[in-house]
Amino acid sequence: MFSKRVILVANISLVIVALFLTLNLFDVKIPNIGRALDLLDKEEPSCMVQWKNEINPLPDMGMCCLGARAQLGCHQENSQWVCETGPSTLRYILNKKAYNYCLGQVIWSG
Amino acid sequence: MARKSKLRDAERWFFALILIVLVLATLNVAKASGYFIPEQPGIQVKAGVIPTVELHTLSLDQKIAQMIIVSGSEANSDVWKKMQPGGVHLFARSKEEQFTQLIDKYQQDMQVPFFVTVDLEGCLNPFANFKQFPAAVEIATPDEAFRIGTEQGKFLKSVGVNLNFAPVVDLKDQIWRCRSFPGDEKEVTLLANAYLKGLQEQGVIATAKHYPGKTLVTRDPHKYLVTATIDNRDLFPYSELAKDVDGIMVSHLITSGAIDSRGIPSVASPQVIGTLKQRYDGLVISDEINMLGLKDFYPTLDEMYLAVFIAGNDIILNFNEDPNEIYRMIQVVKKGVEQGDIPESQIDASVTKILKAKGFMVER
Repeated sequence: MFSKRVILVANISLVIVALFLTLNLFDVKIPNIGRALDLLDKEEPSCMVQWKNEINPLPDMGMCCLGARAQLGCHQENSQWVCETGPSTLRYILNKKAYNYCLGQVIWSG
Repeated sequence: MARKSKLRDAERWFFALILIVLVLATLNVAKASGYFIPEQPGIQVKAGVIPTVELHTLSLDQKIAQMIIVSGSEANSDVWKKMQPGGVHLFARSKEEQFTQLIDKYQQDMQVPFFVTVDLEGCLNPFANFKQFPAAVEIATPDEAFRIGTEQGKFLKSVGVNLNFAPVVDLKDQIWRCRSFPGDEKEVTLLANAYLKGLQEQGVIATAKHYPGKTLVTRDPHKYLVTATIDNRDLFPYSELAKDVDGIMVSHLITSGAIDSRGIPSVASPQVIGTLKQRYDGLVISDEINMLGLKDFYPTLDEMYLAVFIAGNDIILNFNEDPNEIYRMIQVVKKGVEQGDIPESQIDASVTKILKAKGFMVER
């Protein structure tokens, strides 16, 4: 049905997938491209909290991620990510680096 | 002929590999959903005017699990029911029915119910999409604070939430600007006391936070280990509220001054929690333990897990979404108890407090 070369490529791909699945099954963490890109990105993570018209920096990224995670949802506004629940509550404003960082945290991976 | 045979071999390998990948993928999905975590037997409850739990009937796994509050997602509801942690914390949802249906699902058939917890602080409000409350900073009088506490308590009870991580009694909120009551330490205490009485009269546990203070002020340039100097004004609300409030939450700040955490995060400091427990016999609750201020302090998660239990927290918040990690935490702590790093009597004392807070009588 397929040529030998096609099947060979498919087999090698399947071996790689099987390897990753095996590593994941035994909780072996390996460096990934996403993390490498993150390391290359020299932009500092930034998190701000907005209450009404006042915006303040929140330097504790752990608190920032938890606060943002607790909101109903996050959406993009210009180049920032805004996490909020309702019109009368706090807003968490994260830059891309901070948002991507939070997405990778164990409290957010569900 | 030889070429055809090689092609046939490659095809055989192809199908074998497909099968292997499917099996591995299934195992990964099963593992992620907690399929391999052993089910805990239900905790036995003796019926009576006040239902009774005999502590000696609980296994060590069950006791440690009761001390943990996890993130109560829809996806993990079955595995959490299987593992029976002490509580589930709910983040924001868009409709009231989403809360009630999920809570009903969690509490169904549970002999010992879950603590169902939220952070309802006014300006932080998981119900804000359909129910608004004023921010703590906008509450001006004790009467108003009591009324808001009562209103929130009625609402939380109707939804099925039985533990609220509020009021915030940190002084001078300089970051969020809305989470704490206005005024000096005396005014904050007065308002917080009125609020928590309103809440607790409705049967919802209140939590004063974040001991020993300064959480809403510290702007440490180091993002990961956060330090603060505590003075007696920070501690005033706790000493005044200790007789009334059902829970106190401890922060991950490294503190000096009136409360010295001796260079380690407060929540993992036996010194900080030991001192607190000398004057307070309610529930001592950790802040979420995956925050960097705590997590980055320890070389391994195992050391952090042991530290927060050894320190004496009654309830530990771990919102890690992976049930396997929560199970691993229980096993690490269990080993710590078996090896004598954590006295079992300390675990028993915490579980007794938890079960009493859930409305049970506890027999040793």
